[in-house]
Amino acid sequence: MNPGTTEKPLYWLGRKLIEKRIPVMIGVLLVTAFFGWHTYKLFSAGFVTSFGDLLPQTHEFMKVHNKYAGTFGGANNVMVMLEVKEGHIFTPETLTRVYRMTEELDRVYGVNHSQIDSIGHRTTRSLRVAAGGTMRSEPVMTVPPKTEEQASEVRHIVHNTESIYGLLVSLDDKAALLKANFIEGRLDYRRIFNDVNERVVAPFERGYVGAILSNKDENGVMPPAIVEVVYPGTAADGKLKPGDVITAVDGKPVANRVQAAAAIAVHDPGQEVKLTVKRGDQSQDLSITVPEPDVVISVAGEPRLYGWVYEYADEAKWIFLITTILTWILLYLYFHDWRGALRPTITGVISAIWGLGFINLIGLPFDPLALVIPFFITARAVSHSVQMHDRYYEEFEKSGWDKEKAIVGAFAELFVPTLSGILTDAVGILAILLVPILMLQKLAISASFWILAITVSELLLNPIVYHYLKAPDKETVLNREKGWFRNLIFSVTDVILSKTGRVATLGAWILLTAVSIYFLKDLTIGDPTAASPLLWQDSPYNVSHTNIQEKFGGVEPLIVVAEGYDKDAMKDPQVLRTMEKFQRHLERDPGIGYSFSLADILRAVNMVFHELEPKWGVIPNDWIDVGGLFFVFFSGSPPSETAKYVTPDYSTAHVTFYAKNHQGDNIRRIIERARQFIKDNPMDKAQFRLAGGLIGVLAAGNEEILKNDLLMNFLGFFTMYVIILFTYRSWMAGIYMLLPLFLSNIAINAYMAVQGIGINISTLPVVTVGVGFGIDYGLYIVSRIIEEFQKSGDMDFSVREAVSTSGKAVTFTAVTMVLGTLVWWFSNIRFDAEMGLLLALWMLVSFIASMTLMPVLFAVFKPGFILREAPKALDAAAPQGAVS
Amino acid sequence: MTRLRLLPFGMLLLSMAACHGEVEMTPLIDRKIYLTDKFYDVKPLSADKAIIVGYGGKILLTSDGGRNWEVAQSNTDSAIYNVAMVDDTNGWAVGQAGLVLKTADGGKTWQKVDAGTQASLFSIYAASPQRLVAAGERATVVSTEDGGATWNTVKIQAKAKEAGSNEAMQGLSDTDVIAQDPALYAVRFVDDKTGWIVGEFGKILHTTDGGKTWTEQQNTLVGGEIVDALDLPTFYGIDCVNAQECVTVGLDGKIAATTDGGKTWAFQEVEGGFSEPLFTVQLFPDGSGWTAGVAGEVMKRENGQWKPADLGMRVFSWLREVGFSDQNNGWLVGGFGTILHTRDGGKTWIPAAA
Repeated sequence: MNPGTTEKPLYWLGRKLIEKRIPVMIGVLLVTAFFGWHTYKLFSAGFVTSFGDLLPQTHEFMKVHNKYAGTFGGANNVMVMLEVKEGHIFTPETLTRVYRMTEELDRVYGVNHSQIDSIGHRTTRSLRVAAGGTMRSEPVMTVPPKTEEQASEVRHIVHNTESIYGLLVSLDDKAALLKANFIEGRLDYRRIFNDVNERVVAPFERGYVGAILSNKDENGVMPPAIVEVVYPGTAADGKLKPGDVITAVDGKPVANRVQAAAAIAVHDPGQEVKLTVKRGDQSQDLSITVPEPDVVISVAGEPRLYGWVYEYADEAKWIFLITTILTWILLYLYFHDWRGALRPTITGVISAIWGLGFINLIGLPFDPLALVIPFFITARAVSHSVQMHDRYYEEFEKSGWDKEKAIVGAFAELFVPTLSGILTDAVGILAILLVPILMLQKLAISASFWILAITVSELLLNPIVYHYLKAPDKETVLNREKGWFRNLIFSVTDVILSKTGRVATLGAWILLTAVSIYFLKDLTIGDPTAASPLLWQDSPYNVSHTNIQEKFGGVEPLIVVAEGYDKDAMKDPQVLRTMEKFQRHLERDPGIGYSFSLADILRAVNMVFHELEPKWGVIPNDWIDVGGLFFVFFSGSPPSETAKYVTPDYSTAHVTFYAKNHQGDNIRRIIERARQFIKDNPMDKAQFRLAGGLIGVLAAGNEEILKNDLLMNFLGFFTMYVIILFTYRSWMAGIYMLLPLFLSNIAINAYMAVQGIGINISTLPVVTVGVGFGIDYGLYIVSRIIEEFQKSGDMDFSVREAVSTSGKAVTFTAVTMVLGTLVWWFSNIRFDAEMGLLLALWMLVSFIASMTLMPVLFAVFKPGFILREAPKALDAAAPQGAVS
Repeated sequence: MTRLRLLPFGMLLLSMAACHGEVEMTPLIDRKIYLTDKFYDVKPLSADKAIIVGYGGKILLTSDGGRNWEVAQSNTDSAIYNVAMVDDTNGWAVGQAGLVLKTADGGKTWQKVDAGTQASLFSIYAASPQRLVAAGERATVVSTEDGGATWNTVKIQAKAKEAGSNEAMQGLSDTDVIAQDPALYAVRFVDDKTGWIVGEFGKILHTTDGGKTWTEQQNTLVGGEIVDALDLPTFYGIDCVNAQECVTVGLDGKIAATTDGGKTWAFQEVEGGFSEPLFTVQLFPDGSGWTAGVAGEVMKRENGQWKPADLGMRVFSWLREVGFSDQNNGWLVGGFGTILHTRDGGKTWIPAAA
C-alpha cells in the first residue's frame, strides 16, 4: 500500500464531498423520501405472511403438497379441544357446545368447509343400522342432543366407531377435538386468531354462563343475542329464559352473541355481571355470577401459533425503544458528547428507511420472526458510526484541532475497512439465495440492500454531517483518553500480548475449539417437551398445544399420499395393509403421536357392519369385500365430503401422521424413517409419495437448507476471503482474519447444538447475518495495525496500538450491541429472545476473538502482508509527511 | 510455510462440515403392548402364565402374571382370533382368511398349517389332543381327527339341511337364504364327543358324535318377543359347566342358558343388564362365571344371577375375551391394547404393563 497513491484519492473524495454537499444531500434526500414512502406503506400493511413464499417450490414434496392440499389437507391446521373438568362430554349441554363450536369454526374466515373433523360436523360419519335393517352412514350428530338419552346415543356411536373414538373423542371421554384446515390463499393469521377466540372459544368457555345463544347467521350477519337453551344447574338457570334477547352487558349494548360473550368473558369467575335482557316487550336487568368455566378450551396449530406471534410482535417496538435509549445512554457515556449519539442515529435511521422501503418494494411481508434481523443490521450501522466518530475525535486531536482535516482524515483512513466490512456483510448474506425458498431469497436481498445502505450515511453523508456539526470541545476529546475504560483496554492488551499471555491466549482458544468440536459431534435434541420452540414453554399457546398432545397424541400433520396407478387401487387389500403397517411403524417413532388413514375407516366400518364383532374389525382379504364396505359407508355422502379420505375413483388416498412438534431433528428423523419404510414396502397397485401437511412442507424447506448449508457456509467465508484479498492484496490476510471468526463460529455452532437450536427457515437468516459479524472488528483492527506499522515498523507496538485504539471502539460497540441484543431476552416470542441471545453471544465471542486471538496471531506469526508495509520512513522522511 | 499454515484451516472446514451431518436416529419405541393393539383371545395356562393373541399376528406370552411380556414369533401379520392349547406345550391358533397356526413350545414359536380353507376361522377347540374343531365365517367348520395331520372342511348349514329333520327348516324365506351361511363364532366341547357351536342368527349347533353331525337347538328360544328363528340374536360366545349346563351370550346383551344338555334353551333375565353385544362367557364348575362385551361391559354370575361387575376403573373399549385359570386369577382382553388382570376373583383389576 503506497500512501501516495491510495490515500490521496480518498482524501480528495472526502474534501470533494464536503464541497459538493448540496447536490449530494438533495440526491440522498430524494432517494430517502422515495424509500420513506415505501416504508410507510410497509407499516400500514402490517404483518402479512404469504405462506406460499415459505415453501421451497422446487422440492419434490411440494408437488405432492400442491396437488393434494385442497383435498387431503394442507399445512395449516387448527385444532380446538374442549375438555371437561368433571365427568364426561356426553351430556346434552357439553355436546351442544361441541356442536355449536364446530358450526362456529366452520364460519371462521378462510376455513376449508369440507376439511373439518369433529363429532359435530356433517362430514364425520359413522355407520349405523337404519330402519329396515339397512346400513347407512350418518353424521355422528345431525342436531345437538336435547335429552340424556340422545346424548348417550352419541356416546354409543362414538365408542363403537374406531375411526372416531380416540381420534376425535379422547379415550377417557373427557375431551372432544375439532380440526379445521385453512385454505392457503386465504390465510390471515390475525383474523383466524381473533375469529377463533371470539367465536369458538369465548362463548363456550369464559363467556359461557349456561345459556346457548342463537347462531343463525344470515349472509354472514349475526342475529341479536337470543337465548335458545338454558341448562339447569348453571349460573343462568332461573335467570335467563329461552327467547330472551341480551341487549346489553354491564350497561354496554351488545349486538350479537359474540359481543355478549366477549363482554361476559372479561369478568373473573365469581364476579357479578349485569345483563340487560329484553323479554317480550319488557326490558329488565339481571345479575349473574360468572361461573368458574366447567371446560377448558385449548387451541393449537400453525395458524394459531402465528396468530400468537403476531399478537406479541407489537412488543417489538418497545424492545426497539428500550434498546435505542440504552444505546444512546451508552454512547453518551462513551463520548461524553451528544454528537456521539446523534451520528449513529442518523446512519441507523437512513439505512433503516432505505432497507424497509426496499422490503416493501420487492413485496416481502414483514415477518415478526425476522424482526431480530433489521434490529441487527441497525446495530451494525451504529457500530460503523462509532468507529468513524471515535476516529474523528482522534484525528481532531492529532490534526491540532483542525476540524476539516480531522473529518477528511477519519473519512479517508476508515474508508477501506468500513467499505470492506459492509461489502463482506452485504455479499455474504446473499449466499442464502442458494436456498430455493422465495421468502428467504427476498429476505437475503433486502438484508443485503439494507446493509449496503449503511454506506450512504457512512461513506457519503458522513463528512457533510461533520461539516455542519460544531466541532467537539477539546476537553471532551481529551477526556476520552483518560477514562478507566481506555486504561482497562491498555492493561488487558498488555496482558494478552505478554509472553505468557500469548501462550495462554492460544492455549485457551485451542481448548475452546476442542470443546466446541466435541459438542458439535454430540448433537442432542433439546427441549423434547416444548410444543413450539417459537414461544416460551409456559406461553398460552404451548400450554394449549401440550393439553391437546396429552389427550390426543399429536398436533402437526404429516400427510403421505398413497397414489394409485389406476382407479380402485385403494380397494386393494395389500395397499390398505401396507398403509396400516406404515402407521404402526411410524407411530413407534417418539416424535409421532398418532395417525389416521383410509384403513382405519375400513376396519371401523367392517366391524360395525358385522354388528360390532371386533373380530371383523380387520381389512378384508378380497377387494370386492373392501369395495362393498366403502360403498356402504360412502354412499349418500357427496364427493366433497368423502374427498378428504379418498379420491372419488378410489385411486388415491393418504396416511396422515400427527407429530408432537416440528423440531428440525424430529422432522428429519421421521422423514428418513418414512422414506426407509416406503423403500422396504413396495406395493403392487400404488406408491407412497411424501409429503404434505405442516411437517412435509417444513421437511422440504429444511432439506433445501441442509442441502445448501455447507455450500452457503463456504460461500459466506469465501466472499469474505475474496474481499479481504482485494482489501489487503494478500493471500494470507484472509487466513489470519478468518481464523478467529471461524473458531467463533464453531463455538457458536456448538452452543446451538447444546441448546437444541436447529438451522431452519427461521434461524438461517439470523445465523447467516451472524457469520460475518466478527469480520468488522477484524477489519478495523487490522487496518489500524497496518497503519501503525507503516509509521513505526514495530509489529508488537503496532498491534498494541491498534488494539487499544480501534480495539477500544470495537470493545465499546461490542458491549453496546451485546447489551442491546440482550433486551430481546424479555420478548414473549421465545424465538426472538433466543436468537437475540445467540447473536449477543456471537458478537461477544467474535469480539473476544478479534481482541485476543487475532492480535496474538499477528504478534506471533508476524504476517508477511504487514511486514511488507515496513515504513519507507526508515530511509525517508517522517511517515506522516505523505499525509499532510 | 504458507501451505503448512493452511492445514489447520482446512481441518476446521472439515469439522464444520461434520456438524450438520447425519440424522440422529433415536430408536423406535419398543413396547410390548400398544394403544393400537386389539386382543381377541386370552388363554391362561396357570395362575401366572397366559397366551394372548390379537390383530396383526400379535401373540403375547407372560409367565409372571403380566408383569413381563414376551412377543412370540407368529410368522403372520393376519389377525389371530382364538387359541386352543392341547397341553402346556402344544396348541393351535386360528385367524383371518383360513389361518391355522401350530405351536409345540408353549406358544413361543408358531408354524402355519394349511387347513384347506380361505374362510376366517373365529374359534377353535380341542375336544381331545387328536380332535380339534374350528368354526368361522360362511358356516365353515374345519376339523381334524389326527392331531392336525389332516384337516377336513365342511359347510355346516348344508349338512343340517341334508338332515332335514329340523323344524327350523320349514318355511324358508328370502332372508333365510342369507342365514344359510351364518358366521360361526364359538366352538365348545365338554368331552371328546359332545360339543356346541354358536353363531349368527342365533344358531346353536349341537353334536354328540364328535362333530360328524350337527343339530340345531335354537328353536326352543323362539317365542314371546321372538316370533321366528331369524329374530334370534347372534351368539358370540358359549361355555359349559358340564354336558347339561351351558350358557351362550350375544347381541343386544342377550344371555341364553340350558340345564338339560340343550334340549331346551331359555333367555335369562338380567337385572340392570346391557343392551350391547356380549362377546364371551366363562363358567366355573360351581356355575358362577363371567361375561364381557362392547364398551367395557362385564358381568359376573353368582348363584345363577348375572350382575354388572364393577372393574374399579373406566373401560370404554370392547372386551373380546375373559379367561380365568381359577376363580381368583383371570384376564380380560380387548381393544386399545386392553389387558386387565385380576388375582382376587375380579374385585380389583390391574392393567398390564406395556
